[in-house]
Amino acid sequence: MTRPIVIVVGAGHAGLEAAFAARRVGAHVRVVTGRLDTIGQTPCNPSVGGIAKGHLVKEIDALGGLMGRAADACAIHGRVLNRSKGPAVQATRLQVDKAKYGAYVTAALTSAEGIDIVEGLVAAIVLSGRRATGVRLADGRVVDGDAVVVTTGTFLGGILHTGADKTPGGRVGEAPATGLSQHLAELGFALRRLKTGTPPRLDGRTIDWDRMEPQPTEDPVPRFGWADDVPPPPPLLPQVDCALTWTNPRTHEIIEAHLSESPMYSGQITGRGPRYCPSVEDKVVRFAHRDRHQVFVEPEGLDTHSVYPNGISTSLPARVQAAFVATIEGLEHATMLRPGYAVEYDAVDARALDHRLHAKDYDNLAFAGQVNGTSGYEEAGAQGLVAGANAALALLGRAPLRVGRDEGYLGVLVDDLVTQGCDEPYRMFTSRAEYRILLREDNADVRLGPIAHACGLIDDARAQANARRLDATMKEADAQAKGRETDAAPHIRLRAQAHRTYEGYVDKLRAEVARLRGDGGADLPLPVDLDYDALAGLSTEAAQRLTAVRPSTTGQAARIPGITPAAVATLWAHARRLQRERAATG
Amino acid sequence: MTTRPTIAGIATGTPDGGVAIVRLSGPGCAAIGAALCRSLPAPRTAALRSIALGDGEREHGLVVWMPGPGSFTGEDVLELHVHAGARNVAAVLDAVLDAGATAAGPGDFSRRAFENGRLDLAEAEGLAAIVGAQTDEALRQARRLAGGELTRQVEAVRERVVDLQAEIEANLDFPEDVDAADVRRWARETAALHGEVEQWLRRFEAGRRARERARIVLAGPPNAGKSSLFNALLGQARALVADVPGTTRDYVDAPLTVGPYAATLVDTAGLREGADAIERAGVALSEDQLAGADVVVWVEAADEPDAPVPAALAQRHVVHVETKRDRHRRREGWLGIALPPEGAPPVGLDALREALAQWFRADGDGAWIGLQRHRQRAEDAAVALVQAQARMVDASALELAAFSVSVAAARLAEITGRGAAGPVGAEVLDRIFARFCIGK
Repeated sequence: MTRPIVIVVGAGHAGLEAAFAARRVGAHVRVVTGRLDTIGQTPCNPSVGGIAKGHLVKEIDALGGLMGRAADACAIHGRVLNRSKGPAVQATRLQVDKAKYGAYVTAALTSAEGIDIVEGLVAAIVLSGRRATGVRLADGRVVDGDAVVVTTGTFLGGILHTGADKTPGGRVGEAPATGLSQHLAELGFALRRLKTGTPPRLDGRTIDWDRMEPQPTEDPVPRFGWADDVPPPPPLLPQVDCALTWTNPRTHEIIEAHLSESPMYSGQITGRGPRYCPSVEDKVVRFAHRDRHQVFVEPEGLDTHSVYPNGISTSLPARVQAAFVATIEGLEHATMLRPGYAVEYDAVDARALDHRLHAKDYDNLAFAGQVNGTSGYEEAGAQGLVAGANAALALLGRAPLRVGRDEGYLGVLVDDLVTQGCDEPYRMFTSRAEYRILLREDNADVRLGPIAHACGLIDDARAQANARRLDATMKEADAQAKGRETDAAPHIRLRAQAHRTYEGYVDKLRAEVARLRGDGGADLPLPVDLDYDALAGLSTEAAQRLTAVRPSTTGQAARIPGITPAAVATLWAHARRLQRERAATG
Repeated sequence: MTTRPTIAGIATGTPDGGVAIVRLSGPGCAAIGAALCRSLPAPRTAALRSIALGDGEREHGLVVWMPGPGSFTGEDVLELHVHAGARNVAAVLDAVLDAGATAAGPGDFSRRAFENGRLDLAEAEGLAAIVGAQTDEALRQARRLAGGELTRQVEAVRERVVDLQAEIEANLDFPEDVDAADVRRWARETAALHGEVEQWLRRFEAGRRARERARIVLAGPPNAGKSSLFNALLGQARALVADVPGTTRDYVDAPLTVGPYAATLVDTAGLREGADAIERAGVALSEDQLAGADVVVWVEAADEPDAPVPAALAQRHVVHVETKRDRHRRREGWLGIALPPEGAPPVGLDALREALAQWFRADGDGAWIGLQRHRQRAEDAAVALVQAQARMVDASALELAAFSVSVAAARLAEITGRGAAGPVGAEVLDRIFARFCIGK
């Protein structure tokens, strides 16, 4: 039998996970990327993980993905956030050596058997009827395949802004995919203009580190992989310190005086930026009462002097950036290696996708990552895994990979995207997860291991290692409950403690969520072609919102913005009637 | 593009009234109105129109045209004020249905008002309560409910609960951006919010007493003068009175008005051991009445020794009354009743009425309508707030405290029927980003 071919457009975090997942499931993979030397870049901050994001990385890892392992191999600084709080909200964050990270994932991709790499810029999806069968490149070449996963990041109609300078591009030095953007619009995909930004890069040799508060790495350095993983986690790199400093009123004065030169404020940028990651211009304007904002000073690698000042993302002109950076304690003499910039790009309205991240109106066409309106490496990687695995599973005629909201942040992410679309770049937060106390970093393998094994994403050896770890955890939990001392490994002890912390809340939580959903506790299926305008008892507004999403279940309908409990009750009654009719005729 | 039906129903018009109103709501109102009346009056003015009926007949009536969204239902609304009379109204309704409207079911107009955000759940319940009110006090409370008084107060407290939730969630999701967990202050705020909800529950209870027909049960040993008191309170000889112990065998009840409040007054058989089988059965009935009483008026005679007090009294509100004060006085602090010779009202009866009225007024400030559904949600919210506070000792159980706070917020939202659906966490995240500078 010849293997079906999955084409992955892009080789960023989404593209990489999509390629490896499709390959592990059993497809042959063709990765089309603009440039071979920018595979798996980390163009924004140098860290992987963080609150809710670390959870996603653990889930990617549990599903056999690449990101956690790559971050473990390239980490030069690590912390567990929220240490003083319960295990459900504790999260791992590693800072990686950017160059080594890129090299690690490039090596993984190029050495993988069954994955080809094609260099070229994709201009169009090749369709046979409504089925995707390949991609056409800007130079006219066609890459043939059986399914297409689009992971173009910020490259769709990308424009970089620094002051009044506008450069078409998806990242510094790389051309955008303008043709593809227009092509997708012609296929009927609604596009949204979004914006994100990045701070200037500084030369670490010109920073006065002694004048800032040191932020040492934790000892032992936290890792995404388990000590008893099969294969074991990669060795550690040498660790470096980060530092903390602050902006001050002088910094704010300079920024305010030049606000009109920021494309955000001059009207040059129309795309919507994320509220959780505002530019320093936004911080100064919106939080005018604050006289300082923190700046985390983070080295970008062991073999580079480039330093990332986290917290002062900006698109002001380069000379203004240099001037305000020089007012910050410790950065007075810092040389700017590269100015910060804002990037504006088109994102696809993900409400056109189903829970496999495949287009509802086309076959074998999927979208993943920043192109769906998310921000962050972790969010991108998680989607890539879902889209890639499902492309291969569909071609092989197997059941889809579907993670529920109660099974993983990955499930929350996908469901939120296809239910809400996004007005601003979407980032994961623990407060988006109604099952937060079930979705911990420490039990990602317990939650997702069986699903991963069933889809072929992890091998038998890894599944057995998971089973042994779970067994040891439950034995330890039992021993702890009886007050018995054991010689269990530290990570087994912690897992057992976490399990015991939340054990008593699981049923209460599930009952509460079922009640909140207002659907009588059952999530009933809804036909995709349901005519909401004709459904008695729905307001016109509710009918419009439902038509825009075409939800697959009553539970999903209840999470659509602006949907009222009354509308949910109406839908639920209708779904139950449909179910009874089906039962009567079938 | 919408095919949402236009509903029609008879809004009012008693059989013996002069005018009936046929009301329509929905997108078809303008077309139906134009078809039946040739032209519609200017919006929100009443004008006389000739209305075409099915059989070529015409009816003359006032027509009021109220385009949405500013109408009661939030949709286009048309009212036809026509001559009352079952056959005539049916003919008008038939014409409207023939022109494309659908017959409205019970509560359909209010339901549309609710769906279109013109009315929340508590206000809609207020409308139902106005229709069902059987006492003046019940009507007063129902009007306040329909007017949105409960909604406003619930929403004010829910706002504070969600603000608290946002602070805690900000601390869980963005510990590097916001101040350290201020668990003590959060615990204080949680306690204050719990106090507010407890205050509602007391006012709900006061409201229930004032609104519902309370059972006031006269009980005590035989021959204490309960039936005389019963008749005196009612102002009529309803119960048989004799100076023979055990005269009352069955219980007797009758409606009683205490100031503005409505009650049922119950006279029971005197409680004593022994006697014959019939009287023992009467005693058993009396004990049932005690168990179902809102207020027990415990009656003993001044010239008799203290009677044993039944255990059921411990859980009831009890007014102690000593009768036959004209003969003797034994019990300090009891309300005294002296029965004068035949015909004159007993002495001390006004004091007893006042004692009963005091129970109705309960805590005094603001008797409030809290339907059973409101009471349950408020009780759940109160319990959740107590649980939240118990977890606010340090930051280590903050995510569990957040869960309890979110349960409290959800229960409060259920009272008004708004705000529970939509994207998970969206409301809290909106507040976090409005309030805190997030963005390391």
